[in-house]
Amino acid sequence: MTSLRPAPSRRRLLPARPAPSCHGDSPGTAATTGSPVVALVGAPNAGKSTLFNALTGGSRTVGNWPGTTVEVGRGVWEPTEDCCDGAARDLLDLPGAYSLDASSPDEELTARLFAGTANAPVPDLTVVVADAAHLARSLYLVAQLREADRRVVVALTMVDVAERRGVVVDAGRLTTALGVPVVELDPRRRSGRDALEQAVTAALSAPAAAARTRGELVDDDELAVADERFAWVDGAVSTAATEVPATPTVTDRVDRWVTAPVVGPLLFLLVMWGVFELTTTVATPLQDLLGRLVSGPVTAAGRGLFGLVGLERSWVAGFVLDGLVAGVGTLLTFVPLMAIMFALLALLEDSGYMARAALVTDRVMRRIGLPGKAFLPLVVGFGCNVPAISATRILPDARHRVMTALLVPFTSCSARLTVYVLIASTFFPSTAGTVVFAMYVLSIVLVVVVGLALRRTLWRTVGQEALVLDLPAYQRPTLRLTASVTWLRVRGFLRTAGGIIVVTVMVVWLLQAVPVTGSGSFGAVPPGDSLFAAVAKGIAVLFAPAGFADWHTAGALVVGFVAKEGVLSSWAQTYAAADPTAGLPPDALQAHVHAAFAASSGGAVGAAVFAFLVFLLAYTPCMATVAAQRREIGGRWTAFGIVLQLAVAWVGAVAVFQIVRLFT
Amino acid sequence: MPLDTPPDARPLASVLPGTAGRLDLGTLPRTSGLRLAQLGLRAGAAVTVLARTSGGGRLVAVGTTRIGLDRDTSRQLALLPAAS
Repeated sequence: MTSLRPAPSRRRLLPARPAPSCHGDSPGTAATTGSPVVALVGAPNAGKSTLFNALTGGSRTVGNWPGTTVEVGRGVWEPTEDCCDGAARDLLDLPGAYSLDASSPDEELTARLFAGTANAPVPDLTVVVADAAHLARSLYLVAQLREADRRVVVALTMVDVAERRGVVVDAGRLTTALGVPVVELDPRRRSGRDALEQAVTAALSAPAAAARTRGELVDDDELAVADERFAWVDGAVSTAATEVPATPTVTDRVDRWVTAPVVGPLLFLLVMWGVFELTTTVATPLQDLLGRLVSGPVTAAGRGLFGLVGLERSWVAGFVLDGLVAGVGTLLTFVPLMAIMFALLALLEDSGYMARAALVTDRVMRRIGLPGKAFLPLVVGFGCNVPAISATRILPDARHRVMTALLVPFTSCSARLTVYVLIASTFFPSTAGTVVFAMYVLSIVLVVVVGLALRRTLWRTVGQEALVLDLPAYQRPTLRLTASVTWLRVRGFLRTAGGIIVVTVMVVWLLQAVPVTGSGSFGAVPPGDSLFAAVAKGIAVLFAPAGFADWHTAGALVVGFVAKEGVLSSWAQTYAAADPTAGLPPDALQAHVHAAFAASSGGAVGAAVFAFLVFLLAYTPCMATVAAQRREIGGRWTAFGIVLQLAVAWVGAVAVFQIVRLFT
Repeated sequence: MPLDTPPDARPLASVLPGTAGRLDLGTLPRTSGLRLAQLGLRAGAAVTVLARTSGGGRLVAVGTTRIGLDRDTSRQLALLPAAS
């Protein structure tokens, strides 16, 4: 465990196909060969990915916080009908960077592309997305790009935000000062696209602008060179922008409380509790309704259809009804729950609150040897662990990246939420929201405890890194953006259900169809006599000290290694196959689960349930996360991580069961 | 504070919210100063301390930009009186 993977230098720039994610970005497509390549660059949170989505119809993850994009996105930019030469462009969405002097792997992607050291051609044209509200720091990149003969267009975003803050930018004067076209646009509201298309078309058909001339400087004096660029930028800004003296804004007044020493952390916990309480309260009736629909009319219709063709008692009917309908159908009843939670989190992200949360948690992060910035990938993990692992690239220090990537699996992803909700509504129906919230608090505690343990064993000498976090202004979330982000994530959930989980259901069904004991034949075997049960019974023994040594539960946990949604589908399958009246209405599934815990816990049902939840939270989230870890931190650290997760999960579960049962 | 830091400079971490002044890079390493400068926090910039954060750091305003700084960085940076 001595070598750290040299993260940026050997990573391929294009095409970057990310590991499959619950709700990650699509890898993107390219225009036809020979199409001009246009790159979107700019400081973090300037609106590049929102513009990329507006131009390509893509679905890159967007958010009002720095570090949302850590991989290169690629798409086809088709011009509108009445514009331009009609030729499509190959559009690249690059991770945010304040300059071409990279300090972290995500920034290095951008730097390498323009240095010509990436395995991709230098773009034919660069659109610098510049935030009008923070013009000076947005133009440093322009100063650097203009030091070579390049085609550059500046897309000025956040003009409305700037004006509310007393900053007025004259695009015409800025064009003259910078020597490149400047176009005002608002990607969130999809305005200004035509003007950008025309500017890009004109620039592509003209020779590249001559490099700006610099004064006499010694190129290896980094600070002197930077000062010259700042002076050039200051000149442009003073020519084109008027600014009234800064006065406290609503954002400032809110931030005084949101980031305050005691109120800030409490508010963060309150906000997260509100999200989960609202999610479970609103979603539960909808989920019940869908559950009854799946187990009632849908199953009855399926049974009727099989009856019509004389296959009602065949293995095909068993596979479809006990497997697909029970397994995948149960999972689909969680769509309203996921949609509500994703929408609430999207609202928080778009509002600008999440960057404040990183500031609030800085002290805790430091205790475990990580910079506050590491909170950003960790908070992404609460949605899905896969993009969270990729988001560790925003951290400059390789050891911080490895440590964060090892901690991400302990953040409770949304897939685990489905199981929490089923368990909480089964065993704690009146306080389900609070139990679910407690799991998220426990998740944070696990991150801290495991982080502390790692720091005191493997990373005793890890250095501290400064937290300098650019806080975006609060903004009113737009319906379009919230709906878009929500749909992107729900679609990811549906894809998981329709892909990985269908395959998992098929495998589980196959294992359940093979008799090992008893007198059954293929496809007609009591579940307890099947190969699946035999394997699960062998594994279940390991969970005896934790109080849930039941083969249905052990089997579900093994299936959950592939994807956590598989825990539910596996339960639904195994109990449906055992129930001659299948499909399985939600309350019947809950009754089966309740009975299983009652039998396996020796009467200490609550202790066993808590132990199960701890195990579920801590053990390996899914195969996609393992693949993402392997890509980011290498095979050995990934293997170490799996062992760590399983050890923490088992020890934690056993400890919880043995301690809690003493008090029940 | 090092010898070349003006005597009237105070560590940012000890400055109360609401105080305005000019930024001095204090004891911050030069390379770290470059990253701050790219965000707008350059030596001599007019800054206002807006809030003390939960980790003991500071939230500062530089023009329309709002930047959160951790405690250690706030201790290294200094604030000079606005008029000096």
